[in-house]
Amino acid sequence: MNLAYLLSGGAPIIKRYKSASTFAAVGGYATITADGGAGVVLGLATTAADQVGLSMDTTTYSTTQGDAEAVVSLLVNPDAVLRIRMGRTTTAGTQLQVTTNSAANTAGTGITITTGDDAPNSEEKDEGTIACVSGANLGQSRKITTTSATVYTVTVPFLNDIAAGDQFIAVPWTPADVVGDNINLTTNLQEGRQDIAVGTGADLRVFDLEFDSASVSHARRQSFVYALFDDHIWRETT
Amino acid sequence: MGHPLVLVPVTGLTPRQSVRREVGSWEDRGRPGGRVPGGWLTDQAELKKFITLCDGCVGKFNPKKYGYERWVQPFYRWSIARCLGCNANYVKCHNFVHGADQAFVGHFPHRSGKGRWGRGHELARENAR
Repeated sequence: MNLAYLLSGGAPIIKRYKSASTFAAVGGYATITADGGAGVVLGLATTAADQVGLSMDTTTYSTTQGDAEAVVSLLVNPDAVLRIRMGRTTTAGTQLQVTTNSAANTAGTGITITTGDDAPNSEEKDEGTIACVSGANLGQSRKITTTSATVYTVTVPFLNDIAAGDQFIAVPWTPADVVGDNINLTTNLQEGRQDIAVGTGADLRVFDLEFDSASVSHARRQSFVYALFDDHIWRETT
Repeated sequence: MGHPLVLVPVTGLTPRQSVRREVGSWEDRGRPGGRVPGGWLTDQAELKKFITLCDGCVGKFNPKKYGYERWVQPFYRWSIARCLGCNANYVKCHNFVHGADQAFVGHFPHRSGKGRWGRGHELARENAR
């Protein structure tokens, strides 16, 4: 994840904190330590309580006498909007799965998967978002409101009929939604995972989605979810 | 009769003060007194720090020379910050990010010249939409 911008228009505030974890890469995030810890710790991919900020450099934690104390630079603005590439597995750098519609739908509200595509209700995508990346509705997206084993249904119809062969990308996130938030991150904390049920993952509030509609290939590789830390210690009282 | 006056010599810092000073020593606290703005700014550039400059100081900084790029935010192009050159607080500071800093993404306008063609790559692209 990276810093995209700040909601307030302020400047990034970068502070250095004692660390009790090794931060191997820029773009992870830190949470406060448990009682007895030596400093902030590297966040987790699936849960994220009491976030401190985005890591801006790397550090190596050591308890050996004579080694340097681990100190990490964190961007601590609680209104920082993070840009997180959409991926698919625990490994960063994978591309998103496309759903190819197999049954024409003149109402513009139903997308039926092709055998081999992810089942809409496993992992559950209800309350997520589905975006058209190929076909008459290219560039449009809708919130998913019902799912079954084979069909994504949206309440607000796409502007045009959905033809067989049209391609879509379904993700478990909807901006400003009560359910479609939280992002399950890749192991290195750099990307958000498409293949996870809606509502699960690290406590990040989804702010925006960006699908590159230049081509299906672009959409699979160059799509991003924008999010804010939802349990930032400088903002929340919990 | 009241308590007698007892004077206690203060010979060290309290633990709280020590931690505060140690942590504070790691952080950027602005240009110290006696430092010339230009020298201070180039020192910060060598350290690859995030740089904010006001309208008066921005023309004196050559970002290319130090490997910097201008960074703008989409909703508010500038930042509300303290100018690294003159130490003035300013609501429209120009932002510069070092090219090696991986944490920043977003908008890096390619051109910022003057005249009708110099409005910047990003603005031209926005207008075309």
